[in-house]
Amino acid sequence: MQFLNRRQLRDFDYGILIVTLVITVIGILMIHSATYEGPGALSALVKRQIVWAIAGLFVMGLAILISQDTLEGLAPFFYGVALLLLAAVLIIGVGKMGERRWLELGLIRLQPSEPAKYAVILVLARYLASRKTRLSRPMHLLLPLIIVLVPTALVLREPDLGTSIIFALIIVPMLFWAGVRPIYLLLLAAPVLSMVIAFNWIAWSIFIALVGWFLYTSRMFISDKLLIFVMTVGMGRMSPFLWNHLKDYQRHRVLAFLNPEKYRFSTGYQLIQSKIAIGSGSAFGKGFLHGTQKNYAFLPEQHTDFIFSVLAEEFGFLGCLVVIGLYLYIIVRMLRLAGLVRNRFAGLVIVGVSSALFIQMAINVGVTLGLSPVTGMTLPLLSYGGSSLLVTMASVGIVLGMSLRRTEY
Amino acid sequence: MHRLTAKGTKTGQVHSKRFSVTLLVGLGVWAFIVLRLILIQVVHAPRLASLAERQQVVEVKLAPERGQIYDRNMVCLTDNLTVSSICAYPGEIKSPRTVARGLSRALGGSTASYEARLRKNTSFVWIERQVEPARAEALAVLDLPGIEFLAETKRIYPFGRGACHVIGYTDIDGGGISGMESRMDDLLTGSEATVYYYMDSRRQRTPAPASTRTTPDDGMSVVLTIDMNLQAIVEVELERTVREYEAKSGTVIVQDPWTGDILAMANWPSFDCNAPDRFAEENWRNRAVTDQFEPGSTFKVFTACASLATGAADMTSVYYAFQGKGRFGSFTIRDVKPHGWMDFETALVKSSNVCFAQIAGEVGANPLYSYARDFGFGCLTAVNLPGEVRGTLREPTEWSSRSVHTIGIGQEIAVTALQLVTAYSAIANGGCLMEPRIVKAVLDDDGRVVEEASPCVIRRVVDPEVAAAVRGIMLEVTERGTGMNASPDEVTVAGKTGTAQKVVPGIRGYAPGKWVSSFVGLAPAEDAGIVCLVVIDEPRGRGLGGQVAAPVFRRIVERLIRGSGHDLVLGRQRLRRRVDRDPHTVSDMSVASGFGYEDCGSDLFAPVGAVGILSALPLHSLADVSGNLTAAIRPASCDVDTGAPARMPELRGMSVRAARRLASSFGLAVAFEGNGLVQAQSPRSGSEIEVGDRVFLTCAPG
Repeated sequence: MQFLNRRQLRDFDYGILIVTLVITVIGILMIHSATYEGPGALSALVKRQIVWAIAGLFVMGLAILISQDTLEGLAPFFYGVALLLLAAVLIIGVGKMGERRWLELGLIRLQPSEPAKYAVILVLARYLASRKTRLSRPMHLLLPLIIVLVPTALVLREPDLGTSIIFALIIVPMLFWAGVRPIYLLLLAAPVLSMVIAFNWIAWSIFIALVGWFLYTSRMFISDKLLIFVMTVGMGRMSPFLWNHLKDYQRHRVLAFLNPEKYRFSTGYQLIQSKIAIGSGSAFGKGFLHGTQKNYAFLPEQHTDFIFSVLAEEFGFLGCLVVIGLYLYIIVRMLRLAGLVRNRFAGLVIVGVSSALFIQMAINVGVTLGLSPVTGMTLPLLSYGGSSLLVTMASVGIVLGMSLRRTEY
Repeated sequence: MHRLTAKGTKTGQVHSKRFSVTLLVGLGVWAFIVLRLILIQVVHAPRLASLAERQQVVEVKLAPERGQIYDRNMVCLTDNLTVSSICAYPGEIKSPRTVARGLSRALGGSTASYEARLRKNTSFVWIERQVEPARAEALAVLDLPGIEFLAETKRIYPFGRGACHVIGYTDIDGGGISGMESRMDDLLTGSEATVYYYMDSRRQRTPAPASTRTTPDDGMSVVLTIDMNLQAIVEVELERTVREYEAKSGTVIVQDPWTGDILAMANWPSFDCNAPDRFAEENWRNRAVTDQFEPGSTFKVFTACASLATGAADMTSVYYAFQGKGRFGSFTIRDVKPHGWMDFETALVKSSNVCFAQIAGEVGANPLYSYARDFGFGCLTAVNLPGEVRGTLREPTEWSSRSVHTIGIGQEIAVTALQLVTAYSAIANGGCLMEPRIVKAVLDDDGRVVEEASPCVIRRVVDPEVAAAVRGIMLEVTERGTGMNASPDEVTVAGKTGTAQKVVPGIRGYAPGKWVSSFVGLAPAEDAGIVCLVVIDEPRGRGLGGQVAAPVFRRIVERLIRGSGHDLVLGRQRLRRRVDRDPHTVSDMSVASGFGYEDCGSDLFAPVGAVGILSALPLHSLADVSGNLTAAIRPASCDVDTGAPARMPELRGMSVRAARRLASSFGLAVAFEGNGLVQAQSPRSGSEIEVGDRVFLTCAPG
């Protein structure tokens, strides 16, 4: 641990800190509105979120103090702990409707998939930053894929489709930042696309033919070509099998996303009600605490997954623009920082953290706007949820710590 | 040097390609979200906002209670009953056959028709509307799935056929269709209140602050000039005569000549207001105002008035009747019996066509026309009844050379019964044409008088002397002339018979063997209390007015004298004196005078019955605003006069009918639920009551 010098104080990114705190406060206000119990009263959930936010500040402060070398050294340890917790949650975890997402730890409940995200970011950054790592061939991506896929699979088992998708998505910008050729990343997407297209076998056949032709004409090692082709075909073949292995409600979420009117009274209900809430907020909103969709309980999961709808209803388009603008500010600011830091590991961690933040924000908001199937994902910093808030603030703390050590190698 | 640039040059990475690409991808996604936000919050906002309102705000319409119709003595002629209507939600019914069987068992319809309805691919069907309480209860016990009961108001008419043409009826949704119900529909309906509620996703309601009015304005009530006692007598006598002479139809109107009030208006055939559909359409017509007929000899009275008033004749004038066959130009007018020389009075008493054709000729076309017009013929009377026609009285310029003679004896002119009786009232009251009234007052939902119709003189038609002279002759008509059958023993009456041939479409001239027999009478002859017109259409046989119609008048007067209405017939002055001396003359009326309402209407909507009619006497709320209420007689049982507050009687254990009867004798408005015996009452017995209070009874069989 070292003491801060003047240069470090100058390098410290106050913008990220302030905007993070602002979003957190907005979140507390929105949770207050979503759980409003009358004038002068604070609901238990708001109080709990405030406690979590204060705890988050401490954790953030601690994270700022940890040096990036220490983090890099501890990354495999964090990863191991995360895997253990994820395994434990499958055995002794609790949750609703047969899901196992939380660990009961005395007074608090921990959602291991939240810290696991950041453990994956750290260990991946460490691997990609290593001088020994080579990324010039698709074959080289196998190890990072495995690093990500193991926790992804565990989270998928909970089951928590939404979070597992984040795991899978974070890897893309990190690999890109580490220098992987974009064409390889696209080829990496081929198996995923194949999975989706597999529902129509004619389209799938054409797709496979196109991929095969592209690989045949491209200049790559034959083993790479084979790997990609086998994965693409294999994932496509597995697709119906995976679909059948989804839980009923998961399948319904996808179907309801594709056709909300048809599932108006079941899964589509949430989407329609959310859209009504957001739309009826129109340009300037109905005013704080005056959202009618929210007040009359039409809006589902108001304080967690659909907190953005509450915001949109009460503060309108203007409010939404401000809030997602704040997120954009943090992300741009972090990406800029990632370009500035001299330490390769730090840069990759910052990219990972900002991607995680952005992807979660985009998916959560996308769900409320009907752009994505319902995933059960929280809006980081804004939604109610202790683990998420704590871990997100810790990750911001890590980034802030890296901002003051930007000149260190 | 700029700080950022300084750092940028140090690392050389800020504007690197990977930074730009990552940022661009992120910005793209972000912009996509913003575009979607604009689409939803700006473009689709109005539609989504209305969707939000539609699911959050419920509009509940509270129906007003329809106003009542009362007779002049505040006997209620209508009632609003809360009944169940049964509907079904076919989507919720898994086994239509079982449910249909249950419906059939409880309601009595055919299983197949219910099942067909339940199998319809809609979300809502009516099963049966306005079901009797007993049947609804039987169905409720079965607790069938997907079947729901909706409370609806059914308009009922306790008197069934009584005054049906005046009262009219409503459709199943409570809109007035005919009679008073239709004419006064706007007043009776009231206005509904719309209450807004916020509704949450669990369908819990909270009142929205936007609701300003939470109670509907109930409809106003209408007080008719009809006296149900008299109406009952008139209807029974009319029906009897129409049946006796196998006549096509008949009309009786009784009017108060001094006010123009229509005290009774009856037509046969009639219908039950509770079930008009069960009767032929021709029964629905209020012939008293919608049908016109040639008045025949009853019109001679007006010719006589015109001749006396113009000086074309006086009481000493004599005429030769040409032995029953008078030639007027190329045209012959005949009498029923041959007569020789007659004076003016005898000509009217014997109703000589030949003489009156001469008299009319002496009056002249224009004066005859203007007197006829002044008596109200050829004009609408503006009475508050739907469907009135104006009759036929052509301008003299359209008359032929013989028109003046034929019109003088009541041909070539068509009148409505109401025009005729109103014109006779002018003679009875000394020469003033009164506006006929059917609505006495309009009350608001608290029973206060909002509007009161006061008697209205349209014009003086003839001098009192002329009217008196004609009344003198009319008295002779009933003493020794064609109207002898009209004369009861107890009181001197005046009147005029009429026997008119009918003009039937398709037959040239008059139809053989088809007559309209009529009689118009004044009782008593001087200072008449009532003017009564009896018209019998197409009676069997010769159909002389003096034989067919006059006895109806006599019997009505006789029953009035022996029963409740003797005050009417015994004259206004005497009536007043009598009321002063003995304020409850009416309570000792005998039920035996037989008002014939015991057997009309179905079992469920049983009429109150004769005793109810008699005992339900005026609400004093009306009396304090209308001091000139001619028959404002208070029942003995209601001690409102003494100043002591009335006490609620014990009604439990009584039949609904008896309870209503007793309650209405206290001037209480009665509402009840169920049928059979009264099980509970509100207010409790012994509590203070005021006239006009509402009583609610809960009844159950046995």
